[in-house]
Amino acid sequence: MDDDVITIADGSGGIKTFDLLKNVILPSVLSSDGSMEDGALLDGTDLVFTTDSFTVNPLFFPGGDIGKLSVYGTVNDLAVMGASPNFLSLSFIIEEGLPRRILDSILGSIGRAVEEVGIKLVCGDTKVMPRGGVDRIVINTSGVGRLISGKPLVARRAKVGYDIVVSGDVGRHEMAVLLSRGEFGIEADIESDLAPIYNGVKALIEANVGLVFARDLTRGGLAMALYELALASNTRVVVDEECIPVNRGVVGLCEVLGFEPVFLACEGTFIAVVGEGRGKEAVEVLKQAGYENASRIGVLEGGERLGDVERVIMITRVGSPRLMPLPTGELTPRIC
Amino acid sequence: MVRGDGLYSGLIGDLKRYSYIKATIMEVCGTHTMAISRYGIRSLLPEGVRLISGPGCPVCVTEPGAISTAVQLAESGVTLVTFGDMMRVPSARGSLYQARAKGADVRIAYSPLDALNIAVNNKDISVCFFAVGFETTIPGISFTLKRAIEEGIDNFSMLTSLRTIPPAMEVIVKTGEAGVDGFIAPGHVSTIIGSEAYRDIAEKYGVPTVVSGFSAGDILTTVSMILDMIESNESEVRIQYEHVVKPEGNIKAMKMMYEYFNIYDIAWRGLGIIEKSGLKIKEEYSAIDALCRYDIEIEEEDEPEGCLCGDVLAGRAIPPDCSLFGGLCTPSKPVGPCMVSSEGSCAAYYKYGGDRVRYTI
Amino acid sequence: MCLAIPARVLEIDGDMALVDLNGVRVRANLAFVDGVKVGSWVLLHTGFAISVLTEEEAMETFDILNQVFGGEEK
Repeated sequence: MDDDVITIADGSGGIKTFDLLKNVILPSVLSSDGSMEDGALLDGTDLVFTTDSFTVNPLFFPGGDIGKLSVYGTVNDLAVMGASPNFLSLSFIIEEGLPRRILDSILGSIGRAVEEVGIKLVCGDTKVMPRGGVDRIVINTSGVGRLISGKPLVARRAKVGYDIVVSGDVGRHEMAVLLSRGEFGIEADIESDLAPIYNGVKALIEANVGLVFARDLTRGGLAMALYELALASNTRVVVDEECIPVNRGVVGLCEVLGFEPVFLACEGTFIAVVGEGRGKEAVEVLKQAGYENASRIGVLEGGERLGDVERVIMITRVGSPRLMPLPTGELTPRIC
Repeated sequence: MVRGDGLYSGLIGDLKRYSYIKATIMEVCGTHTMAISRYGIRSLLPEGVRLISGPGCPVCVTEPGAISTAVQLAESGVTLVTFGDMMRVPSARGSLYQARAKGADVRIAYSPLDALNIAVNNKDISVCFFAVGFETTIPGISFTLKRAIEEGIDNFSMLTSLRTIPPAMEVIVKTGEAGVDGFIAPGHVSTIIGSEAYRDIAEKYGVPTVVSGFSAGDILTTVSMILDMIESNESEVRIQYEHVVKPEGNIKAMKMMYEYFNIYDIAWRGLGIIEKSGLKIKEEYSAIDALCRYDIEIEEEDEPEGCLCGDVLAGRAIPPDCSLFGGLCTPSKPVGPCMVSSEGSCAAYYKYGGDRVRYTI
Repeated sequence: MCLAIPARVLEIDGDMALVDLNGVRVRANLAFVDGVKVGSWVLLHTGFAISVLTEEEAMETFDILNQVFGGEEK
């Protein structure tokens, strides 16, 4: 029953998306090594390639818009692989009837973002679909970058004892977007954290703090990123709840709507795994680079003979251990 | 094992003095279920103290037939609006999510008034609010009903599955199957109905009952208050959540509840039909009752095969007792309602690990 | 079973109010509470104020909330 149509939950970035990728998409079309990183190092080169499609409702939200998002999103996927932003492709799928001024505004925003990051726009495509064929506009960007970290930053390189840091407070992007739909009669000054993170990753690489892995906390949030890290590195992630920074407004809204802050997507916040005992230093480096809420949140421990669901442990404020839950589907406000 | 520098090391230390007591304490509030798991409370208690969950999640105790009816309405072209909790609960006709994926207009509201606003702002569609909840939520639902009737919003109706908590608690102590020695009574339901509503349960059935708040400190204090009564052989209703809950409750809200709803016998998942535990729209307002407007009935439906939700809700089993738990039934592929709702006891156990968290600090 | 959270009343218009919830503004219906003024604290559930709190009581709840997560100012 559950499987005969694709639901929004399948694309929400949680465990259902993970399963769809691992069990349906990858086995059907790819003969890759099965790794699920944000980009790929192209054989025999120092070039990293990544791609992403962007859809967001509303198209303009506090702190950004779909144009900016489509540039930074791909730049960030390159950055977390350890690559600089060099070349970008840009494709639009537009719904018939989209007002020109909206397109102009998105294009202006893309232009500014491209300039800010210093990436070179090299190719693109535009398609228009009949009304109803697509929701207003979908943007796809692909990026190519040069590896600046020596080896690609991948979860497999993370080892027991290494420290985990987060670059800022979690959950603001998704909360800002959700609220700007105006569905719940809630007004808030919460702005998306949308931003390029290349300078942060670069600062960590240059500071030689033993950076081996980075991941931007997009769909599925911090919880999904930690889970994938633990699974791919065959370790156990242990994080301290009180060290995870969350904006006050986000905390309040999570209580009233029944969300977990760790499930909410960010668009300018990432986790980094650095060498044993180097977490504090990494936090300082990030703060210097402008990430003022950076925090060391945990450590990797031995993960032999663990069930998948036991992979991420959270030490609560009370001091007791519990599992970090995983997002299972679409975020829905609950009353209970 | 607990790290010593936690916020509540004093409280946790005090609890140790009850380590000779063997007691089963039941919470009947999904938010408590969540909080207990989220704060890892079980690992902080003396070994003899067992926390079990009762029928405190309105989504979980909703009879599956009502969900089928909601799906049926949505599929027939009615815009169905409900609380987010309800979306994923499976029924014989599938879940509301699946109905939406196949083209039905199903929307989520944070407040029942949001549902009414959809009707007000879209005169060309028929809107039905699928209302589930306990006493905390019912006054707001009742208020929405009042507004819809007074303002003559005729493209709005309600499908209700509303319940009151004390009768369910009474059934649990009466049958004794769960062996409950103490109740953690729901904090926000009690804000409406008052702590006096549990007097019979505490005094007639001898089960110490404490109305609790939701922080880790609140819950630990509540457990200690219950254990203290067990130790001194007392059985009363006490309030830990003092600043919010009054013995008499919120009289205005209660009045609103009974202005539009009548008490009737309703089926609870796991507990069967409980006398006088449901609220349905009064006959004089039946024009707004979706069952009348669309001339449909809520049919009886079997529980999914192998699912122990019924026993879990009645306190007869804990989630890991179920053979489906964690294998065939997980939050992303739930079989029963306790795994679906984020505050269902199976989901809380699965997501946060219950007392199975194998980790030593 | 029922999530509810303290909020401070910012504006009142008939039986509706605009309330502040840890820095976020939400609409709240006041039909079930008496004597609420601008500056009062209420407990909010599904858009309805279900009880009135003192500031001290409300702050206590928020302190706990903000402690659970880092509660970073931003």
